Amino acid sequence: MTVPAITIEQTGPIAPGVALSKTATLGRVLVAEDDALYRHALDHLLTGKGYEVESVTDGLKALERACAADAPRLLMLDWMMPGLQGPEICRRVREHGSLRYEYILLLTAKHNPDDIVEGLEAGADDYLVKPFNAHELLARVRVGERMLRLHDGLLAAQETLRFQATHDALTGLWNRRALFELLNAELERAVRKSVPISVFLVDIDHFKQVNDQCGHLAGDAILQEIANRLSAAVRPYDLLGRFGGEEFILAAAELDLDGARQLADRLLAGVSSPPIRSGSYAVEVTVSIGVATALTANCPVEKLIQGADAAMYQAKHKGRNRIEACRL
Amino acid sequence: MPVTWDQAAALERVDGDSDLLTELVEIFVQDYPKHLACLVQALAQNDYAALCRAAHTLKGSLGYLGACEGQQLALEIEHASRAGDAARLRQLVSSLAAYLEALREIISPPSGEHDRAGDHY
Repeated sequence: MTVPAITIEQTGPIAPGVALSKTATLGRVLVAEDDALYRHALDHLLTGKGYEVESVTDGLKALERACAADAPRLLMLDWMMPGLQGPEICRRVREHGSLRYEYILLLTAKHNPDDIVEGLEAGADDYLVKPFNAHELLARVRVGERMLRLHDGLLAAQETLRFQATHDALTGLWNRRALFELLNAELERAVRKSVPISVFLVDIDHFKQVNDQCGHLAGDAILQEIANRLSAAVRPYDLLGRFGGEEFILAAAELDLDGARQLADRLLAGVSSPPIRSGSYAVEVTVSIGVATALTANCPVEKLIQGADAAMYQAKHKGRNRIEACRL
Repeated sequence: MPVTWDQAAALERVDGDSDLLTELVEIFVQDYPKHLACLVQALAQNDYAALCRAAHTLKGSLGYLGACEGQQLALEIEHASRAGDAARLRQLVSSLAAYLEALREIISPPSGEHDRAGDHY
């Protein structure tokens, strides 16, 4: 199985499936029709079936409304209108390009194949020839709704997959792969802006004993709680991820050595108290933290991580529950 | 020029909703003089694009209401405007004007009905 390419936007974790379900804009139709008779017929027939209809009478207003964020996503555009004609509106709506899809039904008195091809090529999804019949109109509108629902379902599924591919299933933090990509981007940004960047490796002390004594489910609960506590201690724009096993990684830009130290102190204190309860256990958990700070950037990611790793092992050797730093 | 109104076809088009059809007729009767005036003015100015637009609108409305001869006349005006045939256009526009006058007599609801439809809209 091939893994699809994933683009990661640095906006922090988003819950899967919530971003794009715009059901509120379904059931609404934008009608652009300059002829009062057709406008009234469309309004009456659609409203009668429970649709909410918004009407405009010229092409420019139609385009303006179609591109607005709160606009209906089902558009019925008359071909011949003052201002802009239907096909041109189709072209501009498609050029406007966004994640959301508008289903466009072109109304036309033209029924020669060349015209219909022109309308569809311009970006219309379907067309309805005037004078149309009420049943056909409503059936085509239902097709449009079906397509929009399908589109929304696919987007939601894509969003869920994107989330799963970039986040750690247990803790909801960035996963290792996503974090490396984000870290590279963050490093480039730091170079560009000439600001320092620090990488923190946070390793839970004696985690193997927790697993051995309390069981793996308790171990999982502890990992989740530590992830929550770390999330609460960092700044919203810091990158926090699960590096593997019982190890977390944090990248924070624009902190000098003192600032990095203070952040590490916050992490250390935030994690260790109060004891974590899981079932009948109350476990006092501590972490060892290694920090590597590149003051003048242009330091490869690997070097930062190696530095943080070495510092973290030093913290382990010096007795755990402490912070060691190295400057690159 | 015969003037017939295929009311049954129009009614079927709106799914048998006779109130809606009455409202549409009402709108048409109010609106068509405006489009006809556009035609006459465009003809006087040899503005073929405007002639074509006004004829197109009338063609659509007449087709929806089931006024087939009128729809055909409007279509011919569209064609003649594209061809720039001024003599033919004069003849067609005057035929259409007479046709619309006669059609109005046929499709207008009786005056009592008229008020009721007006309230509706």
